[in-house]
Amino acid sequence: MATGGDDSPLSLYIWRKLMREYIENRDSLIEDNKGSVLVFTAAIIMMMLMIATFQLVIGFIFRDQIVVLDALDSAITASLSPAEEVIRPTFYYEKFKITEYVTIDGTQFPTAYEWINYDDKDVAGYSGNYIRLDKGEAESNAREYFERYLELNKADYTIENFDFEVEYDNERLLPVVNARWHTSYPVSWWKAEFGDAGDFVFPNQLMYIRYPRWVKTTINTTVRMPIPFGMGLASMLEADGNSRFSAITKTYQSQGIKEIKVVNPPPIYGWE
Amino acid sequence: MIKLFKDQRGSAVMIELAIMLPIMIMLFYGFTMFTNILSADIAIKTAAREGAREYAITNVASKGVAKANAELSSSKVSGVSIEPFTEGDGRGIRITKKMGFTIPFAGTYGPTLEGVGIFVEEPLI
Repeated sequence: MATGGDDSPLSLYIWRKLMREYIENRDSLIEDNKGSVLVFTAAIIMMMLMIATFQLVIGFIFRDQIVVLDALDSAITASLSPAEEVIRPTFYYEKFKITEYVTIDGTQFPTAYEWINYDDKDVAGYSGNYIRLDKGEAESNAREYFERYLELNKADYTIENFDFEVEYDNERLLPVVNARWHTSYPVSWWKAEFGDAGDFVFPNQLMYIRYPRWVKTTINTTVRMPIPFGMGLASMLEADGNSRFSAITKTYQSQGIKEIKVVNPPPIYGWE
Repeated sequence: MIKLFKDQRGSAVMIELAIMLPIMIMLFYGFTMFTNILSADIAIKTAAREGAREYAITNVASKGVAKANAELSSSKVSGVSIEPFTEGDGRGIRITKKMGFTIPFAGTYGPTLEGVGIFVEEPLI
């Protein structure tokens, strides 16, 4: 096998040439200003590292945000799970029946009326259905599932704020007839469930009570999550290491709605 | 070509390139692997969410698993373990995947990715 000289294989010649030059110049090789690849590559690598790190940080933040949004999705559905369909009567024991009218310019005005008893002295008449949601239970469910989802996915988080709201359909108002004796005041449950108030109006002794068809829950939450490598970046940029670079704080909102599938057709008039 | 290697500047270039090239290749390989892992992690978490939602709506574990599988297939993630579970009223899907990448002459390494979805069972009204 050839060991050198002009008739040597090219690879061996190159290798020997390089090694000779390396041995002769090994002390000044790195500092040799004629060589520029090392400096150039080092700069490129630094840039690549920065871009790649930035990409990774964005990727982690994106992933963490997906987990928070999934947790919020779980929380909002959990909040709606206690929603139930309730059926309440609109007539109570007695109701007015108008017996005489006077017609003025084509419009009928009642002039005489009487109370009519229902036979069974119990709830009678039209029964309206509506949706009802216990706000306390709904909020508790939402919070529980939100935190559980984040825990199961091993997310590092701090919930800074968690607002929960319930909104009902305010359109479906049905007439409820007043009761005189032997009856409970029909708006007691209504006030308890929706916090609204009303008055019975003479002469029909009616009041319009909301029988909501749907209920909507809204969660507004602010979550603080650490940024990967953020503490290091914060330490580099600020002496105390506690800055906006160390964690990301973001507010998320989610809404869910649940409605009853079949609504009992309401009466045209609550009284006769 | 010969002139290049005979030139002192050219030889320095070659040596520097020989030093830096493996580092750059390793960095590139590392970033690619890391991006793949992150992408798979997001896909697994999304599939767990979708599967758990299906499980909560239908209350049938197999439907939840099928939904998660379909979601993973669309993301081209395979070799996962899908496990349905219940927790009170909650219905959940846990997906795990051992992510591996091979380093020549060093072996296979990688984290175990996990995605868990849990939703409350939805009563119909």
